[in-house]
Amino acid sequence: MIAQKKITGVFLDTANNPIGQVSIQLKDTNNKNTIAFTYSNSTGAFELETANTGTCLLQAQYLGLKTYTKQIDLSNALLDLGTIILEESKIDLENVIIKNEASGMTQIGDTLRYRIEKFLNGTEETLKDVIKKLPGLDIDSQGKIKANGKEVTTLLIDGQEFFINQHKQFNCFIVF
Amino acid sequence: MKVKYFIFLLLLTSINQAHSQTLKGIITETPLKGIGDETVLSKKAAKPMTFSYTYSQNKSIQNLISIEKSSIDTTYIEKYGSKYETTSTVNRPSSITYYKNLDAKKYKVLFTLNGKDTNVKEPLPKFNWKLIDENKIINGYSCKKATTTNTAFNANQSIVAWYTESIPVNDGPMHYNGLPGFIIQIESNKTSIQTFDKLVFTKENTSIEVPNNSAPELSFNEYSKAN
Repeated sequence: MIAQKKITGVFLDTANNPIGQVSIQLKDTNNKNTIAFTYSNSTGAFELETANTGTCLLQAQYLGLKTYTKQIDLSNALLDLGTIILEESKIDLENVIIKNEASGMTQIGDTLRYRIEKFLNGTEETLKDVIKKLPGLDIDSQGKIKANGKEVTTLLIDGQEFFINQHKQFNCFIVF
Repeated sequence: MKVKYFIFLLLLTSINQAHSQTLKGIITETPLKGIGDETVLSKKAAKPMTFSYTYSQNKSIQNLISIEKSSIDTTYIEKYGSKYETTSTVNRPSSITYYKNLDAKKYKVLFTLNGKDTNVKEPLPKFNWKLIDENKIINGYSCKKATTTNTAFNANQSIVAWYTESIPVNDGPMHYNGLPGFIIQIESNKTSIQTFDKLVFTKENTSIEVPNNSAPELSFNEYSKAN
């Protein structure tokens, strides 16, 4: 019979409402493997049991809220973490996940190719709005397009030459 | 205008709970082989099914969106001068809904097969998951492996699940739940695979109502006795 250690606590949001379904994991400090895991119930309370000893990492996560991590010392039979408040996360989960996708930029020789649908959100009305969103590209008040500070001489759209040194005329061009 | 909208949003979030989030997705179920003696699937039976999925406020709903009609194909085989009739029947439900309330631990399955509605309500099944030290990227999500045996609804299936810790949501396809991260893929007994192809997050709550159809709500035991 191995002595089980118990960790308890209650999760609340900043308005003091209990948060159910918070994902709670006990992880090995070194290899980050999950030792034990559970979810908080509808009153926000959780109970985790483990036979492990020493120190490990407690990690609590909920969609849209900041992740809570705490170094846990498993020397006591019972460890009550009390009330834990989870704040709203400023990081959009969407952005975290997009990192696994292609960046949408490819360089072939001296040409940088953008897949613009990767950078737009549908609110862009003019070519100026589009260019402002493409990484490395910028447009100044005179309508000159610059790539990393250097003036761009040729802009291709769908592989067709769009203009040569005539940026100004196209600032009001409707893309959508 | 944008500033006004932002202030309005701020007011809204301060009144409601601070953690408004909705997760929406598309699930594809691909049958791999038949159950029983006939393990090779016909082209019709092997067609994948597509589901829509919504999760918000610890509830989720999964609905069939691709509709394949049930069909009976008759072919004649000629042998020793006489004709023999062979039929191949593919029964496809015209609607399927899986509903979970994770806080209340409730689960519902509703479907319509050959015009007949079924409405089953059960406590949410619990699984004894075994975490396996294996990783795989599925549709851009870094996933970890877990295995279990599904004994819910008189089944006895070995299940392989792939879950991602990058989405801290206690849910997955059908009745699967309880892993330390969102279940992206479920492989049942090597007979079918359900995979999330697409997931989208929005910063708002979506209200998910308890689904019902024309059939009376039965427990799985009552349903099994009646059928």
